[in-house]
Amino acid sequence: MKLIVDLHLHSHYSRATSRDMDLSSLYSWGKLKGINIIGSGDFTHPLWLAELKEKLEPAENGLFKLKKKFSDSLDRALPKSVRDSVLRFVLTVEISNIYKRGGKVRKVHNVVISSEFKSVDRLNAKLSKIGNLKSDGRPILGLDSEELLKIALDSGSGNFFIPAHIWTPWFSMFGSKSGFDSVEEAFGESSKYIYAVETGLSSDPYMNWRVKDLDGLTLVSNSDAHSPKKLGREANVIDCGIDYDQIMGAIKSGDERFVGTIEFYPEEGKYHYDGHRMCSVCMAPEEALKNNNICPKCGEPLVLGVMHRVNDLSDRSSEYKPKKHKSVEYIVPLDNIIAETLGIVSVNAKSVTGVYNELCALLGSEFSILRDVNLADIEKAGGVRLKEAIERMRSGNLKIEPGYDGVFGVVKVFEGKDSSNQLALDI
Amino acid sequence: MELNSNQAKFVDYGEGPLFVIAGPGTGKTRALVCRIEKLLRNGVGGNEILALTFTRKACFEIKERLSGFEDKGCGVHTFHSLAYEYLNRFSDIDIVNNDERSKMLRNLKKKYGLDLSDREVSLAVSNKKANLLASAGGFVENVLKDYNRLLKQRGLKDYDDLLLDYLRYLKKAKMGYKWVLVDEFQDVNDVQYEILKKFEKETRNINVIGDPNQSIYTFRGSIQSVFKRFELDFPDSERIFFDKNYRNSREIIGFSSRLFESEAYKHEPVRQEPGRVCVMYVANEYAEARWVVNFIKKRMGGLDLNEVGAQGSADVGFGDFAIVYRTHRIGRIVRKMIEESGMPHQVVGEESIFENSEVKKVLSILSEKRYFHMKLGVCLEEILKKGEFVKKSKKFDDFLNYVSLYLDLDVGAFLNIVEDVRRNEYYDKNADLLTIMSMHASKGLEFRFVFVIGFEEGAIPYLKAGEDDGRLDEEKRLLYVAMTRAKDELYLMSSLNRDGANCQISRYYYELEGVEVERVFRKKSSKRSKTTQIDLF
Repeated sequence: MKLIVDLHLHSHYSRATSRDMDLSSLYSWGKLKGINIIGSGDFTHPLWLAELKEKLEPAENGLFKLKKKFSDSLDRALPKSVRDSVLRFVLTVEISNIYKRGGKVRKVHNVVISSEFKSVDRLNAKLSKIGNLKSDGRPILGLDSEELLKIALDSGSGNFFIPAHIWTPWFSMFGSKSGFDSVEEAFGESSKYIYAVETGLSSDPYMNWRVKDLDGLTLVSNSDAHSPKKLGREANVIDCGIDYDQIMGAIKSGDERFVGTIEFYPEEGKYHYDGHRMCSVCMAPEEALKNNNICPKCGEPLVLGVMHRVNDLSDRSSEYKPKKHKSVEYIVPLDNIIAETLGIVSVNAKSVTGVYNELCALLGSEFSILRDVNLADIEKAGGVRLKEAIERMRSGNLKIEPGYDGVFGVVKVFEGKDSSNQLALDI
Repeated sequence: MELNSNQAKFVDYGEGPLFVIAGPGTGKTRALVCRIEKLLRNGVGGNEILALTFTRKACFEIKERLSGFEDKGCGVHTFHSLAYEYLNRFSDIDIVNNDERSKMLRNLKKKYGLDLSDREVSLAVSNKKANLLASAGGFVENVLKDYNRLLKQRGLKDYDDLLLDYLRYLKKAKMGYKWVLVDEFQDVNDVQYEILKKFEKETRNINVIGDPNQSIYTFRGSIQSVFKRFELDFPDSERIFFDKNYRNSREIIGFSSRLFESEAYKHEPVRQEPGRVCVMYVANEYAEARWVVNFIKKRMGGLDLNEVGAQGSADVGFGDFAIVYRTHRIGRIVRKMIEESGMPHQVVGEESIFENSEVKKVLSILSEKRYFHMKLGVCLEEILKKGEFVKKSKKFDDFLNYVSLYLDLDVGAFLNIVEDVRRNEYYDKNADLLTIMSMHASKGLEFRFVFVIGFEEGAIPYLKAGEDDGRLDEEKRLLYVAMTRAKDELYLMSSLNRDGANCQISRYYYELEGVEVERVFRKKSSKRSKTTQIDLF
């Protein structure tokens, strides 16, 4: 079975996270989005963990499901079209490692995945001695990433470790601000236990293929969602049984079970290009280089984006594509498409939500609408303009303005319109 | 790194008594290690050298640095470990544990109707025992007599007994030490000093090293004028002053030394990078804590996406910061805000949750054999159901919170973890953690950035009613210790209001002439008036 897997997200116990990120939302939105395997997030947080233990029960090997007494009422509220889909939870957490290595301060985020509460308890017991797990669902530890990797693997044989969104400038393995230049530099002798890396919103497999250091590692994609609607904005497609070991085995080996990833347009990420948010300066890396990476407006160094960093670390040209590679599918979130079709700026507008719910009820989950449902049915349910929008998205016929220095990029399905979103951001 | 001329003088010094004045950051431990190595290289036997320190931590540090000479069996000890090791050769020694000792003293306090805290009684008894010459008030005599009898009845010794017994042996026995080196000499108490004098019968090669300005333990019986006494008792002793400071920035050396009138011991800064000493005026303890938290985040270049910016320096980590206060009470709010900020930190010297009396009861029940292989969660539920322990306290809540992580473990495994944590509740140099601690606990440590919280009258100096000027001197030395922990930047935080009462800046501010002063006040927020309205109903 082709499973859609989103491992990295956060509960409401994490900073700057929607209050709605609770188990019911994860459950309902997970089904609406069409996710099959969803991370629990934040398992180091004592209160969240207590809730997970209370409300989840073991399902297939290493996976959990919401107990019936909690899921029944949620299912009743969901449209029939998605009600019976499979949704399993897997125990995950993201940890912010801030530490000194080689005389420099490193800030690296890492994702740990576990198959059982016992291992989680062991890991938490060790980490609680090192740092403060109570005040943030994504705890900050003054612990070397390599140490965390060792502790994570020691705490349970099924535990799995993935460096998170490896290109973001401020908090990642390859980050320009406080990261490293190679996997080995970051993880030393333990780099052999790194089997996969998360590409993050601002990069896609094409960009990562250019870096030799990543050859042989599986490129995974997750949403890192802080609110329910953002679930599944990136995800993995894995063709295997509903079983923790099989899913992790596919990620670990990168064999044919790991079909590929569903991607956010990397330009849409907040750190794709170089620039200065305060100065409204956005540049392609080549252009920034011509300016010696200095902002023409304020004279300070530019915040260098992911593209720039990839150029720095890459060994291959930007056209490079390995002979054999995983599938890469780009999507634009359905609410964005609906808003654009309706000519509405805000994706949170009531009319957008209304159409979204209607479409899901008629056609199924968001992923199936974006990826599978045939265009004729989409036209029947949502009109010709929507059909055209999705057709354009599927064929990659879009207009894209890259993000920079914390400003999200803008992807427009219909070209030719003025970029009012971008203007609003600039002001 | 080369030894400087005064360090070299010490390392190469020949026979005879010697005392070395070594201020903060002057390379004392290193010089001491070099001297021991030199003696060993010159053919002195390891068993002829005795190096004495005050903490096990310092002991480890010296041993670690001496590791190349391990096989020579040079004796690096604390006074207590020296005595214990020696006495234990003759008979097994049973040391009274802290709980038992407190219990005895509490009972005696009741018996004699003393209006003193447990801590005061404990210190008085210990000081009376250790300071052979001191004459304390009459109550101590009685308590001490009873206490000693109790110990004897149970065949127990306390730490003071160890030293006294050792001293008694020294009257007859020879130890064979040809070289005796004492670190942190300013902390020596009467019994320890007498022990040193007994060594003099065997050797004149007694080297003491320390800093009179860092004597902060007279309340525990250390002799304030011990350096003077040494000079009187060893009139032919040589004196060496370590004049180069390798730790602190010029500014920190300059301002901290202003606390002392004497110009005799002026340190010369080695470091050239500019530093900073700044008195920060803040509105209250919350503003103080907020400022400190934001300062740290800023220097670290932000801890999450909302905070990132270019101001941070690439080489500043959590371990570079320390928050220091005179009493734990002063640090309450800053501890809370640091906790909420999610920054990894350690509170050194904080009363451990495992010292709470209810927690102890629970732990002692758990250590019964029958629970050993049961799940912690099940056992706890059973124990708590009986209810007799559930006196609500913050510490007990903390304990339950802590325990919640281990509910699925076997009790035996859990108790192992507790034991491990208990043993490790001290400053851990290897963890990259922000450190929060009392001035006393800060001794011997160094950080790039230090915040001294509560730089106010009533907190610094901290005097209880009726305490005399002698204590005032010690308070000043304590501030000196705190200030000289900072390598780069030192912030003395003075709040206008604390715990709802107005405060004045510490008297020591007026001795720091020319120090930079900054005021951090936020504009009064209009929200405040809204929230107070609710009280009208």
